[in-house]
Amino acid sequence: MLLALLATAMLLQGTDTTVSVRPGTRLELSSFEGGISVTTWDRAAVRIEAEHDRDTRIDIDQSDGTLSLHGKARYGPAEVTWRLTVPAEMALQLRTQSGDVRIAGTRGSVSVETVEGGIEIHGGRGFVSLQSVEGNLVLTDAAGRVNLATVDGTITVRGAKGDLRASAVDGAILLDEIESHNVEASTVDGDIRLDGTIHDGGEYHLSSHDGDVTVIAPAINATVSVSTYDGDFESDFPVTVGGITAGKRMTFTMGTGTARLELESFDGTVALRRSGARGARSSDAPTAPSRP
Amino acid sequence: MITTSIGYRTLNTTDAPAPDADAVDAALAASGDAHAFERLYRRHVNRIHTLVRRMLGEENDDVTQEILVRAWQKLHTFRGESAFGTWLHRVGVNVILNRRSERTRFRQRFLEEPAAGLDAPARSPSPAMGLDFETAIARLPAGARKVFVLHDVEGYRHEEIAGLLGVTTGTSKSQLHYARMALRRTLG
Amino acid sequence: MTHPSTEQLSDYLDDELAPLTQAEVSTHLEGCAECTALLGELRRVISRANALDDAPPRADLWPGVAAAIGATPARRRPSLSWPQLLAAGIALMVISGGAVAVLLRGNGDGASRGTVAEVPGASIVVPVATTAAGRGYDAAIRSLEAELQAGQGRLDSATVRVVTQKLQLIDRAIAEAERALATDSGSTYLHGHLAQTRLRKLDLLRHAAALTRAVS
Repeated sequence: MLLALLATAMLLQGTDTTVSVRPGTRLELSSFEGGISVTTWDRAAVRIEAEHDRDTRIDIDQSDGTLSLHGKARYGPAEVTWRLTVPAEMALQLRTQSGDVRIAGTRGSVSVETVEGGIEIHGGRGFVSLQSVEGNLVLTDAAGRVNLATVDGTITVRGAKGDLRASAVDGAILLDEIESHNVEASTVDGDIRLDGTIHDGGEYHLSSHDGDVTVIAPAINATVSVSTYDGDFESDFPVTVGGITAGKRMTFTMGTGTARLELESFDGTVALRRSGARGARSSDAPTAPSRP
Repeated sequence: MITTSIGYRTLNTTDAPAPDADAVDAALAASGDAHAFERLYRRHVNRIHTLVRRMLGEENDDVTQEILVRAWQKLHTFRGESAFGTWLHRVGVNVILNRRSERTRFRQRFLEEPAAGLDAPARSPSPAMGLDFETAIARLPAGARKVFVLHDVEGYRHEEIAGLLGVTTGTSKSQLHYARMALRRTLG
Repeated sequence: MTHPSTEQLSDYLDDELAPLTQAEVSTHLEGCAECTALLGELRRVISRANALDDAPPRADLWPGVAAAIGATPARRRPSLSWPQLLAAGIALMVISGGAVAVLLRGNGDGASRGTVAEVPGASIVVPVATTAAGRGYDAAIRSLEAELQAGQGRLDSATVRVVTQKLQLIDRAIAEAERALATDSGSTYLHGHLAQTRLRKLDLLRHAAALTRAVS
């Protein structure tokens, strides 16, 4: 069913309308300029609040299991600030050129792309993909396959379960409370920190050109491979290596060795830290209580 | 005293109008002098290249070159009634608008009429968009962009534009209106 | 007179209205701040349009013109089709997890030396025609750079700035890796790292070029 609303004829500066949706409907929003903020409720409906001028209309189209939202200005690209309330399980796909995106409380899959704008998601299940060119990415409490990519910005993940890929060009990658069997993090200019459980049989590949790479875990049972050109290696854990050589990949086994850790930093320090040990966290992170 | 340089000679004249370097070089080039044509190229390429960029919404070296080559081929038709730059500009507009890709795509991309029912002037737009003015021109729909560039940037009249684009003057005015309304937000 | 339409105001600025309408609008403007304000905005657009500067092409186009008019011979710029670009990208793929590293050598010597990547403990040895891959990569980069350059007028200037700066950052990292490799050409890590960093550049260029094609 096609449903299009011209809401601006009646209202001066915005739209506020609620649309019923069947379970399983996905939401697609494509915007040019303006922030997007999404919260959840347990109604089978989507509330759409949008701030825009009189020359802009909001097109709402529901068909084939997808609710599509689009701002259309009379002249030129649209500027709309969106506030949506959606069912918690609704799959979300949001695209904007310029503006921040915030989602809180979602238990659905999330796909967000911005060019200039930060993205902050609390939640996300199944499939989470955040992409920006200029913007910080923040993700908390996600579970599923997570894919984060930014060019200029920091990636911060707290509390994630499932496969995790994070990629930046100019920015640090900070991964905390990670429960994953597969982590891949790569940046050109920035530190990488992975704080979580190194699972048996897991694969963890962290690579930076110009930054430190730090793994923080209570225990590490892994085959560890450390490569650096102009950097150092440090470890809280006892490891027997004959010193690192520039350009050489140094491989050693820790514990039962069933996981694989590939740690690379061209120019920085690769470090293995024990969780809870004093100084395990970098100074800008909150201090965690010691683990028993 | 009027002092004019042509090549390496300097003329001091008081009564006669100064010979125009472009006109002289055009005459030389029309008789096959590639060096003279290069001088014309150096003086006019920026303007032609910029015209191409604005009309197409992106830089295109091939089209810029094509315009210069067409000008060389048609030099014998330049009679000096207008300034060489004006004549070259017209050659450029013709090349740009007659490209095969332009002819087939152009009418399809022509803007539909704006939504009816809003005759009153709109309220002021929200604070300045991130786009700068030239970027906003590049992002206009093709029809509005071409009319805006020809009318407001290059100074053509609606009758001429309508003839060049193969549309009515009404459509030309409507496109110009759209472009101006869209662009005003970037100056907000 | 009720407010003139915005179309009428635009025509009014160009003296395109019928004389009677022109006069009516003029009278209306005297008493209407809103329409006067809008007219002012439209006027600013026109002034701005009149004040735009010309910019030169990035390359000197005279050689191409000279060749076309018969003055000197020209060199044609090669361009790659998308399948060729994709193939170049695939040839460069670094399979992560440390399984296989694809070795890239710079283009240049012309000899088709296959290079073999080995991993301690792995039973797979992968021969790769690196010279062809290197050339394919360079051509892909040039093609994407040209596309980005042509279309960057459609990108927000802040985005252009970010993309340009970060491409430079990647270039510096590539240069450092290349210098390191020159002193230690046997290092599997350095070969892999250089390949990975070059891929980052390709990815960023692809993304940026795709942005120039997107319509708002």
